[in-house]
Amino acid sequence: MTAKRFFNGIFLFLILLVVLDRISGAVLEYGIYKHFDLHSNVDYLVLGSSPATLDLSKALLEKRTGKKFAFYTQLGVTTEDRLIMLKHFLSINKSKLKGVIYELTPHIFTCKGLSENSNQLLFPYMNDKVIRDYLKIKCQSKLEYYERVIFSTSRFNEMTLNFAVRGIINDRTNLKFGIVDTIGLQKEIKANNFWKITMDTDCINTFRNTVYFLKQRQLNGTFVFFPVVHILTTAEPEKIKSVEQRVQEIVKINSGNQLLNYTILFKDSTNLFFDHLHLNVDGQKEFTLIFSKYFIQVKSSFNQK
Amino acid sequence: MLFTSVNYFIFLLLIVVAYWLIPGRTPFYRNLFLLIANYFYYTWWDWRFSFLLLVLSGIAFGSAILISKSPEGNRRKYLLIISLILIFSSLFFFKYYNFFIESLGIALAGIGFSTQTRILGIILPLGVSFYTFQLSGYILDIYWEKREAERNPVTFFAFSSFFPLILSGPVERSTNLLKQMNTVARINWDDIAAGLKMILWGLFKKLVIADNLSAYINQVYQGPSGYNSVTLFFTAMLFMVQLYADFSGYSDIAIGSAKLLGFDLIKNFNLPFFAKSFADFWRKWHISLTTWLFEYIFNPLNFTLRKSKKAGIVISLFTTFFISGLWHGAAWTFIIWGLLHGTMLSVEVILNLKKRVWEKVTSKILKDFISIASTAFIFITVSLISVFFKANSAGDAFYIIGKIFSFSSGSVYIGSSSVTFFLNILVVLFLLLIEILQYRKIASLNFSETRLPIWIRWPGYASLIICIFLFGKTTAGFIYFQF
Amino acid sequence: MNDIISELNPIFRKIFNNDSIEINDTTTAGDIDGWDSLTHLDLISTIESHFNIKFRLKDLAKMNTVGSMIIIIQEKIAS
Repeated sequence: MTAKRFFNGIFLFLILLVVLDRISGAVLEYGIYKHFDLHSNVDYLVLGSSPATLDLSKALLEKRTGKKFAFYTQLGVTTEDRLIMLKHFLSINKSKLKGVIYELTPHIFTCKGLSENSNQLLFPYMNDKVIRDYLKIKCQSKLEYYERVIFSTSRFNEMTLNFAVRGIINDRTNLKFGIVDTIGLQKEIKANNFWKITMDTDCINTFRNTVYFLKQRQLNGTFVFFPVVHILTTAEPEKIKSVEQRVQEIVKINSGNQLLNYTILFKDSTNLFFDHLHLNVDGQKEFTLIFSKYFIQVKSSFNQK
Repeated sequence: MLFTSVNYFIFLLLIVVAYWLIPGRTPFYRNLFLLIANYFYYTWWDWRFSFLLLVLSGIAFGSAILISKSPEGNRRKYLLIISLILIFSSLFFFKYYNFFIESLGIALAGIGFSTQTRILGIILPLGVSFYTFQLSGYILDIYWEKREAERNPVTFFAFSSFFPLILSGPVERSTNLLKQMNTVARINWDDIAAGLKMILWGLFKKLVIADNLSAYINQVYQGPSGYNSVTLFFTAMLFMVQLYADFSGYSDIAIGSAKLLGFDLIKNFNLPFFAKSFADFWRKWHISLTTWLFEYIFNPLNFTLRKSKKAGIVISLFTTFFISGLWHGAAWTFIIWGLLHGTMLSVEVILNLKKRVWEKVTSKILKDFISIASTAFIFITVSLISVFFKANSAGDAFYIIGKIFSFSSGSVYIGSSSVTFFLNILVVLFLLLIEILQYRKIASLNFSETRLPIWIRWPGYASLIICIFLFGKTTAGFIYFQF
Repeated sequence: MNDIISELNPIFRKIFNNDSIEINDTTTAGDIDGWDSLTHLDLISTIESHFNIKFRLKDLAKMNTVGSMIIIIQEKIAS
């Protein structure tokens, strides 16, 4: 092989690579937007992390309430990520959104150690200016950032690829089977070996900013504490109380907001939990029914706006 | 600079371009450049490692010259012994000191002495097991007059620290790599292309196959008591695939990197899962180490014991594989692993099935059947033995083997996500497909030539890269870095 | 030289169990089925007892072809 032939080959191959990469990237992007209903005109946006994903059934909720919901919920997203996700969502869905359902847990202000993960969750939306500007500042390695700018498939990882594929094949079920191991959990709590609740100032500020942002956009929020297995709520009751108080103060900023606390809703039904923070398939059904019932009742108050 | 990091490829690109720009009238300047690059690379990990490598290389370089100058006789023999002791004592200290002290403590306690043993906080210098073997092999080559002692320190030190193989081999021979470093190579664009393809395939095997299998396997090996026999059996086979994808992936990146610089390293794997006997398996698995062990341990020993015929072979096999096990790690699991392989090979030698059965079969169908059945048998047995390679302790390994053969009922554990499980199966099948193509000679092992048309190959390579983008997000080290 | 070859040929036929073997100076391990490291040693020790000589490990490394093997055998017989 001559040098000329070699470099021609490399050049042609790179073109082929870029074309294939862009096509696959576009398909995956379509899939992930579809999975999170980011392009559909919905009535309500559910914003949150894994509890909102697993504890509510979109199909059942829509059937019961007769409204359309978008679930923009990803594992382990912090208050900061949620604010970006909210801005991202609003940048594409300006029209008829009536309100936002914001997931809360006792860990809402505990965000140390989650930030690494959240970049990976946002990379797939890099074509959107809101997300791109955010990531450009937040990405620690410029090399990592530009690799993802150039190659669109490199924006996905195993989890986001999973979302994209499920979006393409239209699989919307989020079911977990099994029951939480309370004995093991009790042991962990006894050994002081569990995820502690903290109140990080940055997170609290971001949460406050989110509430202001919603108010400014004239959107009402329904802030929902999702159910937690009861043993865990007894482990740090003081801290849970102070988190709840802080949330209450901030939510009050907008009188149209509502705060719902389901933390101890299932305190006597451990069998509805998959693990200490998430419901299993039975719990999902139960909780969706309870939540939709509430939603139908207060729908009128939402519509007044 | 892990082989899978972007940093490594920036480094490699700069080195390759600069290397070929250096005028190659004599190999001196290129070797000098390589030497600097090698130590830069190794120092990146830890400067103390570089110091050790420098000292050991110096010992090998000097003693080889002294040996080659000495006439036959005791002086020559003593020189050999002293230099080997110097080299292996550092390996012993870094790798085996703690294991030895601990075992000694247990043994003494067993016979009633209580001792205060002190475990030292020693870090294992990366690659030390590989380059001590390479250096001692070189000294033995000189002793056995397989080649002349290298007089040029630049050439020798570049050989002993060659960056593509410093971390985990292949264990090179002076008769191959050192010889090539004494000649001037012209740039060959076919080799460059082949090297790039090998690196790509290596990255795919490591990042997409091995690293994606590891989560499932680690989960099962964390608490084997929670899984049924089908799952444990399945995991044992899956680990064999992971180990292969991990280490052959590493080797392909190493060999491909060397190819970009115009060097042909020893082959390290040759489709081991298609082996039809244990001897065949070892001719195809970690070839550079196995041939080293056979050249410098088995053959001399077997030669000395040649009058004892088969008993001599069996003794030599056990010794060789005991050392192989110990080389892999200072733990009983590895020693048992080595001895089991030694047993299998001995049984094979004693039964001599090849002569007694295989050559007598004439029916084509029966031959095909035996060939497929023995391939499956070898893969399954090797996978079961590899439980000792992976398990956290010998106790765990025996438990797993016991549970597999209890044939308890139940279906395979799917893992935390069925999508991930499905993907894992898919990548394993893809690996199998490529290996079948290589076995059938439709694609060649080093990717230099292939019978597949360009409209399959190019999109294929591009898809491999895209898969690496999608799945290659881990920063996991290579399994063999621990050895 | 030829004497040694004619003495070696039957040994080769016996060790490798093949009556059609015809060795010459350039024959290597690759030319004969079943010439691996194990049969090689069998061959070596049969040759040793046949010619009543003793090889050294160093000699083994130099036996790349039947030709080089014969040269070493000649040296051993001579000394």
